[in-house]
Amino acid sequence: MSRSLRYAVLIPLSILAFYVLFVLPDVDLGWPGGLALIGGAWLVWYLLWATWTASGTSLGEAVAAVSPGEQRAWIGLLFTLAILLYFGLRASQMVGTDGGRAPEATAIGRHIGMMVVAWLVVMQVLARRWRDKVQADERDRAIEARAAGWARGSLVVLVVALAVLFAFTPPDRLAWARPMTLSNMLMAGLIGSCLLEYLVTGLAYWRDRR
Amino acid sequence: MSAPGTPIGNVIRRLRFEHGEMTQQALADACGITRQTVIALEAGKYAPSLELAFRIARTFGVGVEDVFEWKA
Repeated sequence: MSRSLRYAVLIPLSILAFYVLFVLPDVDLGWPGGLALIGGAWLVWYLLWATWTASGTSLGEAVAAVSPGEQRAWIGLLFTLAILLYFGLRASQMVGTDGGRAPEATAIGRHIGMMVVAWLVVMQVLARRWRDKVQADERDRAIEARAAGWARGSLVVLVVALAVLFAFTPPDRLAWARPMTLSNMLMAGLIGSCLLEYLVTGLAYWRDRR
Repeated sequence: MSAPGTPIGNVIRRLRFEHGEMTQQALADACGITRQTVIALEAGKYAPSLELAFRIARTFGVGVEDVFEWKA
């Protein structure tokens, strides 16, 4: 199939996949249906990415010049951003009228779990592609350690902010802080710290390449 | 630690060409590092650990001080 035809098929499909996954209301398709939906969406996005990065294109050469660690960081950033966006858009639907877990929470959690599985699959595919090369060295480890420090710092700030908030706010002004809302806040903070870690990692690699 | 403009200079690029135009990938494979780390070293964007400095020098068959210098 020619490259332009691939784009003509894959770009509308990838937009449709994004729309179905992130914009349309949830329809419970069960495990097989949900898995097929998420797997199909990620397959389309992967094929689009593979077409872009195919050898012979300027982007393909640019990607080949990027180290495995940097590729892992940018892919991690994309997946984490997608998860955070999805979580942010759907978080309110996870809170029930009594402040507990809404029935939709299970389906939303399952979709996020499937995104994580798809991410792991992509990382495995890439690891197999690089199996004959050194995938990480002391520079990669130094960058990862620095990024992990930023992520840890952001979590410390979040925990301290929550502790101060709950310690010094009158109880009657904390009516919004229902169990599921707090659970969502903590999860968003955790995903956000991962996002920051991947961003710092990617930027450190990019700065070294400039 | 990666740094924008390390005070440690090196002549890795010249040594590669003096050793049969060794490629960056060949040097990386010999030292157990990625090609992008060789690129960062040659561009002066990364100061290697002592262990890596020795490994690079050993690959070229010279002393560490023949590869690296203190620029500041």
